[in-house]
Parts: sequence; C-alpha cells; structure tokens
Amino acid sequence: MAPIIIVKDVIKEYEMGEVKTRVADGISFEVNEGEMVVVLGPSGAGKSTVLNILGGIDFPTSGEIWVDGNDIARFNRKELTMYRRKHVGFVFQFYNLMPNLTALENVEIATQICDKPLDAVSVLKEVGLEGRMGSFPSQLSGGEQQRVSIARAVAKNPTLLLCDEPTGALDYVTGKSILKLLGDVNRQGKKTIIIITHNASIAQMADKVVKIKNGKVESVKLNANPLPVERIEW
Amino acid sequence: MRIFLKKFYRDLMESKGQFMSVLLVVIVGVMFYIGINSSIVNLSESGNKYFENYRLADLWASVYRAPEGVVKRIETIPGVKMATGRIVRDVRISIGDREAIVRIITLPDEKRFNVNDIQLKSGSYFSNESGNQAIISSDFYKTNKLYIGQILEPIINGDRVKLKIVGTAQSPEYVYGIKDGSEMVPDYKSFGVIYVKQSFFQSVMDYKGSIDDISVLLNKGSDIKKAKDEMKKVLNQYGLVNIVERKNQIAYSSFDDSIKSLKGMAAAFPILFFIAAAVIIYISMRRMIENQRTQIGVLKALGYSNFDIMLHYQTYPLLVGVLGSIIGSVLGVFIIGKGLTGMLVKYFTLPIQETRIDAGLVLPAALLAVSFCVLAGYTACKKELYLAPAESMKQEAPASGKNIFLENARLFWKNINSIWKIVLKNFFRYKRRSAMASLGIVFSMVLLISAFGFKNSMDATVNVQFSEMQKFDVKVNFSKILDNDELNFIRSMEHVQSVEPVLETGVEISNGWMKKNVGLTALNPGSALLSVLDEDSRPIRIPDNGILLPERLMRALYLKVGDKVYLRFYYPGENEDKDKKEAIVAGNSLQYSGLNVISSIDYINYLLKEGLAVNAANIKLDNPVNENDVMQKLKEYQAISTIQSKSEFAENYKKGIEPMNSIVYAMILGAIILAFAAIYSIANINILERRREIATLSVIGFTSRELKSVIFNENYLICASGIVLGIPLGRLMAEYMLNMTNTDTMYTPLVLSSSSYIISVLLVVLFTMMANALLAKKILSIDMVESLKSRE
Repeated sequence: MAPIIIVKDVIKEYEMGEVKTRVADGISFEVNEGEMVVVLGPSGAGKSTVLNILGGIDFPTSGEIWVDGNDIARFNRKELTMYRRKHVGFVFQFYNLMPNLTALENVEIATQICDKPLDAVSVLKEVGLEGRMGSFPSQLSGGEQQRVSIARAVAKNPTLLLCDEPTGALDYVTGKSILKLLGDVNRQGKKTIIIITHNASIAQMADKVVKIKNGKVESVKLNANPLPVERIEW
Repeated sequence: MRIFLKKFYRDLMESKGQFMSVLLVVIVGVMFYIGINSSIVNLSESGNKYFENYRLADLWASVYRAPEGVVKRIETIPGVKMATGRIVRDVRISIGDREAIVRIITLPDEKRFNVNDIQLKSGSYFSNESGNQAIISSDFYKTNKLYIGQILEPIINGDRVKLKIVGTAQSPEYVYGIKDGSEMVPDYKSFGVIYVKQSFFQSVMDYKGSIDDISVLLNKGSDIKKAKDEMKKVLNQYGLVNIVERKNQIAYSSFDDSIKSLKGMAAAFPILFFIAAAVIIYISMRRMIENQRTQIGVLKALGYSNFDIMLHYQTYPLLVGVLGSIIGSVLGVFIIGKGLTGMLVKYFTLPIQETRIDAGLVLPAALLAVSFCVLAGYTACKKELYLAPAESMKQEAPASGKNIFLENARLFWKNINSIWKIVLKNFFRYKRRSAMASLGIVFSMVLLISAFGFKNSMDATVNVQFSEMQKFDVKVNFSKILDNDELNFIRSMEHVQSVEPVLETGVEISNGWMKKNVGLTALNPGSALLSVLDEDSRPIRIPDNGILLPERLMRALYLKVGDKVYLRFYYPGENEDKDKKEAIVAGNSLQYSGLNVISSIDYINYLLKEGLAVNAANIKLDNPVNENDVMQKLKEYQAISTIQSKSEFAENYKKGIEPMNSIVYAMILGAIILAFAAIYSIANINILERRREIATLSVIGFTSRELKSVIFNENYLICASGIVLGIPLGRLMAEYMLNMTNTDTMYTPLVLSSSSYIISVLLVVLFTMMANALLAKKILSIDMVESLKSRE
C-alpha cells in the first residue's frame, strides 16, 4: 500500500532578528491511509511545526510534503486554503471554538464549506453530545468542548485528522475519554489520524510512533499490537 | 513615571491607525468649533465697532415731507442722542448698457458728524466748488468700474441729472447692500448708494428746506418704544410712513441673522464630532484595559496607587484631546475661520479685523475636547481600577454565548449561512459597541443629509422663484401712477408678447395692537406672468375679495384664514388711523423673501374706492433673446423708475448663493472623516479581539474572501443600522439648520430630493467600503500559528 503522506527532508527556520533558529532540521516520515500515528517529543522539539506544515497553516523553509499525491509545500496560499478546507481536520489543545456559536453551529461552520461533509447532528451524537447541541462553549466542560472540536474536524470528512496535544488541557479521565473517541474515529471511521503529544504513554495506542528530538526524527517504530485506550495508564 | 511614559509610547505604537483616526475626529471637531466661532467673533466684533464708530441709527423715520427744523424737535425727545435729517430716494441710472438702481442719500454740504455716517474709502468729501458732487458706495463703484471725476447721469424726477464722482465710501447702514426685502443677496452691479449734497438735491427735487427721512441715534439703555411713540407724535402731521427699528432694518437684521445662524451651526456640528471621538476613545480604551487587566493588577500589587495608574491610562485621551485641540485650533482659525469669514465678507461690506488665534475661543474648545476625551477614558477604566489587585490579575471569565432574538425566527435562522450567523450574533452580542459604531454612521448621515438638504432647498428656491412664480422676462416700475394708454404703449412695443399691470406699495397691516409694515402686491386675478403659489407650491387664484399672506406673517400677527385685518396705506390723505381699511385673510402664499400682502387690483381699488392705480408692469417677450432690444427701448421712457431683467436677477442670485457650496463641501468632508474613523477604529478593535476566531476559521479552510466577510458584513450591518437611524435624524437636522437661516423676511422651506438620500446612503456605504479595504490587510495578515498557540 502506498503511503498517503510522505514528509521528506522538511526544514523550517525562523528568523528572529539576526538569529536563525532551525526548529525542523530535515524531518522525514511516511503515513499510510487509515493509520493512527503518534508524533512524540519533548516541548520545543519541532513536532508542532511539522503538524502545522502538514495542516497547511505554516510553510517549510525547504523539503517536500506529499499528501494524496500533491506536494503541498509548493502550494500557494489559495491552494493551501482549499487543501485545508477539503483534506484537513484540526483538533487543538485549547479547542478554539467560536464563543458565540452553539455546539451545533460550531460544527456547521465547518460542514457548510466542504464538498461531502457528514451530518453535523449525527457526528455530535457520535461524540456523545446529543443533549448539548444548543449549548455555547462557555456552558460546556473542557472535555465537552474538545468533543465539539473533534466533531467539527470529523464532520468535514477530511483526508487526515491532525491533533495537537488534544488532551493537554484536560484531566486524566477526560483526556482518556477523548483519546478513546479519537481511537474510535480511527478504527470505525477509518480515518488517518496524527496526534502530537509529549506524553509517551499515549504512543501505546498508535500504529506508528515517530519520535522527534531537536528538530530531527530520532526513530520511527511500528506498533504491531496497539493497546486499546482503556488499558493505557500514565 | 518615565517608565509609564515609555510603556504608553509602546502601547500607542501598537495602535497607530486607531490613534490617528480618533485624533482626526477631534481635530475636525475643534476645527469646526474654532472656525465657526472665530468667524462669529470676528464678524460681530468688527460689526459692532463699525456700527458704533459710524453711528448706525437706532430708528429710521420715513415721512412724506417735513421741514428740516423737525430734526431739532426730535433731538429734544428724551433718550435721543442725535438725529439727522436726509432725503432718500431710489432712482434709475444707466451704466454702460446696463440699468441699475441707486439710492440717493443726502449728506450735509460740509463734513459733520451725523447719524448713519459714511466711512470715506477714497477721494474726498464734498468741496465748496460745484453742487453736483457725489460720493459712491465703494462696492457699486468697484463692480461697475467707475472712476473719480466720472460724470453719472441718474434720472431724477424724470430728468437726467449730472453728478460728478468725488469719492467713494461705505456705511454701516448698508452693511448688507440690498435694496429691500425682495432681494436675497446683494447685487453691486445693479444697486448702489450715491451720497449727494443736501442743498443740491433739495433744489433738484424741489424740496427746499425739507427732508423725508430722519435717522435717530439713542442714548445707550434708553427706551426705544417711548422714543418711537414720541417721534410718531411729532411726525404724524408730516405724513409719517413708518418708523423702523434697528433690529428690523434690512441690512442690520440680515447681518444679525447670519450671525445667529452661524451660532446655530457652531452649537450643533462640533458636538457631533466630540461625541464620536468620545465613543471611539471609550471603545479603544475598554479593549486596552481589558487586555491589560493583569498588568493593572501587577502594578497595584507593586504598590502603585489608583491615581498613578489612572493617570497613566489617561495619557491616551489627554494626548488625543490636547493634540487635537492644538492642531484643530490652528487649522480651524486659518482654514475654516478664514474661509468662512472670507465667504461672509463677500456678502457684508465692513472693515474686517485680521484673523488671529483667540485664547478666548481656543480655551473653551480645548476644554470641551479634552473633557469629552478624558471622560470617555475615565469611564472606560474605572471598573478595572477599583477591582482588588488579586481579582484583576485573574483571567476574566470567558465570554459567554447567548441566543439572540433572531434565532426565534427559525425559518430565517435556518436559511442563512454560518458567516451571517457569526456576524449577527456578534453584532447583537456586543450591542453597546455596535450601537456606538453605528453612531459614527448616524452622525455621518446627519451631516450628509443636512448638507444636501441645505443645497436642495436653496436650489429649489431658485427653481420655484424663477421658473414657477416669475414667468415674466422684464419688470418695470414707474415713478408715478400708470394709466391704460401707457400700458398699451408698452404692449404695442416690438417683441413684447404680453404685459400685466401690477400695483406695488407699502402698507401697515394690523390685528388689534399687533402691526407690521409690509409690502403689498396687487395683481389681476388671472395673472399669468407672476404666478401666486400657496405654501405647498400649488398655483392658486388670487381671491376677488380677500388677501393672501405668507404663513409666517399670519403667525406673527396671530391670524388664521378667515380673520379680519386692517390695512393702512401710506398715500397722503389716506394715511391716518381713521383711514384703515378692513380686509379678510383668504389664504396663504409662498414668499421666499420679503413680506407681502397679495391681493387683486380690483380688491384694492374697492378698498380705496379709486380707479385703476398700478405702478408697475410685468412684461413677457416673444423671445428672451430680444431682451436687450426691449430694455434699451424702455430706458428711453423716463417715467420708468426701475427696469429689471429676470434672467440677470436670477443669475445674480445663483452667483450669490454659490459661496454657500463651500459650507456644503466642508460638511461632506466632515461626514467622510466621521464615517471612516468610526468604522475603521471599531472594526480594528473587533479584528484584534477576534484574531483567534479568525485564525480558527482560516484553519478550518475559510477562504480569504470568507474571512473578510465575517468582519466586513458586520461593518455593513453597522452601516445599515446607522443609515436607518441617520435618515430621519438628518432630516431633522436639515430642518433645524434651515430654521436657523429663516427669518422674518427670508424663508427657505426644506426640500430633500430622493436622490440626495440615495447619494448620502451611497457615500456612507462607499466610506465603509474604503475602511474595509484598509482593514483587509489586517485580517489577512493574522498569523494562524501564532494566534492559536496558546490560550490568550
């Protein structure tokens, strides 16, 4: 099976005045369709940068990023927008919901701009928010907000789901339930998911674990028997 | 404190556009305030000095004929400081191939202080040499390119009389150089004043030892009413026509009225800008304070007092207020003030003072501007300031969402897209801010609509006056009563298509104790060359038994249609109280200038029990191109005292109101700045606050256009609600403005064409689009990665 994502020699440099900081220093890895990939590394290792570039919200300094046969590193702004719109679902650490839209409207805002979205109501049901659709973000708990955020990403029916520390702002139990939800989306919905985390335990649920350190890929490991979330402890 | 200033400077640099736009609004506000007020001060100070130095009369008495000695008797009346007897007469004169009317006024043969004195501008006062020396009013002299030593030949008493120009002068009596209330703007080509030796004119007029005009100067603070009554007693036997008080004298009242209408503008316009500036400051400061909540807590924890912190945050409004006042004052005096004074000087003839920056004006303006700014700033930060430090260091509770009323309209809510949902929710969630932003648009609309209303009304006046009412081409007045033969003679002239007789005279109209001296125009009921309109601009037939009055005269005399009034004519032998004639008010008539009783000639004949007595004629030509030909021929006819060409009159009027356009332009400019500043600064804050939302939408895959429309549509919504409110308020403002210019003798009804509304709306939308264009860059430059990194 050909990989759906090929990241090749990605370098990202930031210029801060006269100081150049290289946050990604030749990162390469591949992702197959339907895989759950965990990108692991300490803070500042450059994992968020890779995810942002993969999600089309940042540009590499050099390198190639092939997604579904297109090198998005060569996309212009407009093409990147269309790429995000059609192919990417983002889940953030801090949810980033529209404070004055209800849960349902927060999902609809994503579905209305896609070609073949899933039904917003049923996706919200699937993430367990059947009774909270009319609630505003401020009326929801952190876990519920993250569920809305996942529903928003999933409902777009994207090629890949990118999650940046999705449990980072949540307590242990809630965090686990969110990971379970992501696991379900991956297995039942057959979605390719990339999760970024500094929590090594989470790696046990992944098909593939990419370790990043100091802007470089330290190792790529395949996990023959990923553990179900319920059995992971940290 | 130096550190605070540094912090302030850095905060400021982060919101330069914001700062500039508020500053601009304050500058314009101060500019209007200082500009208009400095013109008022300049004009009224110059005027008062002029009136005092050249002894403008307090009372003018006009009599049929009185001996010179009567002046001495008037001077013995208590309260009278000084009196001057003169002969005043309007005569016709040809200058080049044009006809003009000049008012001949006699002055003492030898220079003496008198009431309504002249200020010699060039040449010299009368010498002992010849009798026929003349001093010409300087505007008439300049406009008609006359020269000292030139001989003028006015037609006096049916004869051409040679006058030799020896000097030029101006007088406070003609500070506004119009002939009478029927003229709206001065026309120095067609009307001027010629001062001649009293003895000379007495002999020309066969008025030896007699006068017909007495100007009276009163002691300060004396009772005008009493003096007037005493004068009446003395003068009644000499055929008293009327006594005019200074406040009703045509030149003085025009001068006074325009100062009053300027004061109205000075009171209304700057406030709009100050309120708008206060609103923008309030909103920007609210955001700054909310953002720096934690910082305030830290400062307090460090031990800074509330006062220190307040002082720091008030640097912003203070700077806006002070900087705005300084720049606004300078620009106000030298652009608006100078421009406006320059424009007014085109209308008024008086020695005007040098333009200068007057502390007495700058201080109140600065105080007004600064207090609006600081008050807004204080209101914006008082809440945060009185929180306990620990409280303010805490994060503020996240914004809560709420359903808005529109969601109850399910069908509507279901069918709009999410962008509009965001826009509508945001608009109604921050109701106060939306309302404040709309305020800028409302004020902008108010300025635009009142500017256009002002212009429309002026234009409509010209149009109705010169094409719907006056359909004649030429109008002639005779120095005597006209008979049928003379009318027929004019009728038989080549190129004359029709002639209609007119009676024009003065009359005193009274209702009980209330009376007023007004004009009277009598026409044939079927008058086609001068149409009579009612105040709704519909043509009406002149009644057979009754008179028509302008509404404002009816109001002044507490009359309504159907009431009886008394008319007292000034004809010798008919001018006693016992000769008053009773007449019935039959309706109203539209009169833009002057106050006139309109009636049919037959009705006047019936009242006076006399035969046809007309003294003027309206003439229609077969083709207007022959106007010159006919005018030349009429000139030969020496019984004609004045010849007026309507086209010339209309031309002059149009030229006369042209300078008013600059007021309209200034208002439009103000409107642009208001709309632009309000939309720009408020949307700017909106963008700053919602970076995170916008970045999220961008990540989800919203295109640049969709992102922009989230902000822009809100601006359009703000714009639309401002327009809805601005239209009726603008109309009210236009009405207020015109009411300020409307006086006893001048009446301009409000006309607002639908195209003016449309243009105003389009302009405001255009300003909003311009502000949007500037904001687009800010929206698109939001860095997604940066904005989404962490919790704000």
